Amino acid sequence: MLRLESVVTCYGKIVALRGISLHVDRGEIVALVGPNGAGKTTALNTISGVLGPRSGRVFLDGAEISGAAAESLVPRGLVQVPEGRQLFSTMSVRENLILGSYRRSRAEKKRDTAEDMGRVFAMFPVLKERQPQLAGTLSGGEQQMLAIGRALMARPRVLLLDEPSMGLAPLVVRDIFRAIGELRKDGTTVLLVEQNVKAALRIAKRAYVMETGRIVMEGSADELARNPEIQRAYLGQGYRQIME
Amino acid sequence: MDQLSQIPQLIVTGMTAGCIYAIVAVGFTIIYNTTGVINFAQGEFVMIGAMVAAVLMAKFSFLVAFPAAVLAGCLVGAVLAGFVLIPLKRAAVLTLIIITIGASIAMQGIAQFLWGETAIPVPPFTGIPGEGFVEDRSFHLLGAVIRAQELWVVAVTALIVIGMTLFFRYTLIGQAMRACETNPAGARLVGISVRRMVVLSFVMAAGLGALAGLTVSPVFYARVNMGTALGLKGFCAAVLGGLGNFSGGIIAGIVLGIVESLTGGLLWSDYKDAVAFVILLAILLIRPEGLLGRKADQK
Ligand SMILES: Nc1ncnc2c1ncn2[C@@H]1O[C@H](COP(=O)(O)OP(=O)(O)OP(=O)(O)O)[C@@H](O)[C@H]1O
Ligand SMILES: [Mg+2]
Repeated sequence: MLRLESVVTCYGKIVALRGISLHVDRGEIVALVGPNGAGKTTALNTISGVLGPRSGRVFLDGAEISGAAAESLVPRGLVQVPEGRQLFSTMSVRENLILGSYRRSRAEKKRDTAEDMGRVFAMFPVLKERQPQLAGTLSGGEQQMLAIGRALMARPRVLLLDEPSMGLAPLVVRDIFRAIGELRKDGTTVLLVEQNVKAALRIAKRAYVMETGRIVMEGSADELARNPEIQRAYLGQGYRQIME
Repeated sequence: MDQLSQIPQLIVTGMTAGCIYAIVAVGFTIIYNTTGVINFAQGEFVMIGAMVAAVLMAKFSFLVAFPAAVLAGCLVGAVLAGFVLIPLKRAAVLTLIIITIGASIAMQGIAQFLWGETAIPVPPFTGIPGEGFVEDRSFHLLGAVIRAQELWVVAVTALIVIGMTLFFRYTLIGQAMRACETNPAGARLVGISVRRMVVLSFVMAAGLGALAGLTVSPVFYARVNMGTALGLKGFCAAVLGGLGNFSGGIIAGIVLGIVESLTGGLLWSDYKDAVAFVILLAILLIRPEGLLGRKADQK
């Protein structure tokens, strides 16, 4: 469904992705993990069209999308929940959600926006109460829920999630991961970037490990969770606290 | 004592000018709210609307002249957006603002070449039909003479204010335009073409400016250099009202028109045009966020 072939992305002279290849099949949840500065966000931004690759190719449903504008990929079903959330902070929760469905066709929209919003509220009930509140005044966890909700309003077929658990309390992290798990039931394909490797490997089917712009390891989530190197680097004592 | 009896009349005149400042301020706000750019060519849109309407009214009915004037404004707005957009990818907001100043000077030059410098009288919307120069209807209220055209100006302003408020609050496109200003990166991620919204904001601001121009020209005549002062005063109103705030800019525009008119009529007529800038400087020193602006506009 989504495939990258030797993608190289640079910021000026800094090479952030040194030729990465990966694929996500229909209905899969795939995790992309790695330390700070590995290039995970750069990879997601290159897929979603926020950045253009220097070389290499990106495919969605077999069609090349390398270098396509981000806004043109949303109607094709590729939607990103970005690092930093990028909410419309001076607008209400409701307006943020409505804008999520901006590119759905007019005929569909009338009928479906209410239904989609209901689905988001069922997933994150707190958002329902917060509808008139300005997005910028929400708590961190609520903002992350809104960011995911806004992306779901576009009815994504492929959802790119960039560190949804960042900076959140364990209980909220659990809610968010539960929501991501529910997406699988709807057949949504997910590429999940996470620092919380333990939680990510628990929910994902497969995973890729990135370091300094390269993919250094890949495999099924179970396999990687048992790998001693991964355990030492990512699943040590510190990470248990985050999860439990 | 004699001067005091002029007050009602001065208020009426000031109110008419103030409405135009208000509409210009709305134009500033639309573009600012979508792009963060202050468009100093806003006054020229008013001039284009007034001039095109004035020139066409000599030959055609208002049914042709008015839509043509608004369309001409929209078209110029789209062209200007093109100039602002081409460098948009890299340019800093300041560069874009300077481009709009350049565009304003260019538009005035072209207009002067096309239409000359003389002021053109424009017949009022609902004048008394007759041969030659059409006289406006007027009536007396509390010692002031009010012309029918002045009521038209107020009515058009009110319509624009209500229309824009509803548009930005309740329509998807209006919300998308606000989203572009609040967070352009986020806007792209929900599929909004920021470029398209920028073009749209310029077209709307220009169309409204032109509408203001054709509405006010029967009161103040149409002149190719009318845009500069209107643009600057509309800018003062927009800043006084707290940039980005519709109702603030509108109230500030009307207040500015009235204060200016009273100052000019009662105190020093030579310094009438300076009033706006003196108030602006004072406000910027005391309350940099404007009179009705939010205190801390965090993003
Ligand atoms: N805008 C930028 N300009 C220059 N260099 C950048 C820019 N953004 C990222 N980089 C660099 O590219 C590399 C990869 O960054 P990236 O944000 O993709 O990492 P990441 O894996 O998402 O890290 P984190 O887990 O901290 O979010 C880093 O070395 C970073 O310094
Ligand atoms: Mg990152």
